[in-house]
Amino acid sequence: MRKPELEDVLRRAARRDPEALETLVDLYSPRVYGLLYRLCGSRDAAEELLQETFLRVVRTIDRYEHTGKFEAWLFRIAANLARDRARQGRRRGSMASLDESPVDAELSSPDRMSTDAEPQRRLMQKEACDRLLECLERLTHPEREILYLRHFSGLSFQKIAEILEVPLGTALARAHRALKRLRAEFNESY
Amino acid sequence: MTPELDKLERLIERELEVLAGLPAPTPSPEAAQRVKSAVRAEAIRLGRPSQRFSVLPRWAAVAAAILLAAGLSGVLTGSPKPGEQLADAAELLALWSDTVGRSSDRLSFLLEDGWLLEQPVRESPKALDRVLDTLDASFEQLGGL
Repeated sequence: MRKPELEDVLRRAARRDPEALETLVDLYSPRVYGLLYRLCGSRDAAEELLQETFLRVVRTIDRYEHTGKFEAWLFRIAANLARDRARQGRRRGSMASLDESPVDAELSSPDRMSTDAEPQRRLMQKEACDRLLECLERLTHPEREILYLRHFSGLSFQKIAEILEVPLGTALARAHRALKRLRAEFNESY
Repeated sequence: MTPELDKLERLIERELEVLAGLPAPTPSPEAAQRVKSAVRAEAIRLGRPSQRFSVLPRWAAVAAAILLAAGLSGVLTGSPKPGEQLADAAELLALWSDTVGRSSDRLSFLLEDGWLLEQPVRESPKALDRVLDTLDASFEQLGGL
């Protein structure tokens, strides 16, 4: 969606126009869900928080200042909800791969099975993905949070620093540290 | 951004490519639909007060007219020579205050709970004409005080 169109949708959403709000759900729910799913480790929790994220958008969008930072605002809500969930300890520690279906689903989908000529290669890819996810799960929540925020939101580190309410240098240092730990975990897992 | 931070960010961006191979989970169509339904319901729920008040301009004046007319008529109807009966200015003021108070109460009731009256009022233009005629008559009587 082009920027003027998005701004029009946001203006209508600010008046709680149901169609505009549904458009925002269509536009952003895949990325927000991706973040929530990776941070929570379960589909149920991610779906619950996805709904809560957008309900909070509906409830507070009249107070949102339209300064071109909607995505940052949206991902801040989602990240805060995921952080609260982690603090509460619900489903904390569950491995994403335990509830994982994307990789399995991708591998077992009829299209893939019928067209993929290299099942062995795909199996190795799945194993690599699972290992990577396991390593990511061993990071602290703030470390995973910043990596997943960058990966799923597509926002700059400057905006991510604003979301996390830390200076840019702190955000970058945290991401750097998280990647360093991830590398170490990955190497150890072999 | 300082050159050091810029360099660090570029380094991190390169290393983050390791996540590119991760599958992107997406909500099930059912879950996405549930979210949309919940969002729509919440938007309608929160939007209702403003919708209620947005219709007020169409009938609030009429409702006020009804109440004023009813209130004034109650005071003035059957008083062929109100000036004689309400000679005492203090008594007149008290009655006027009481009438305004009752009208205000009824108006408050209409604003808070009586918004359903909009439909019957709108569908009955003759009733509206009668109300407005009564209001005119009331003002004429008021002018005669």
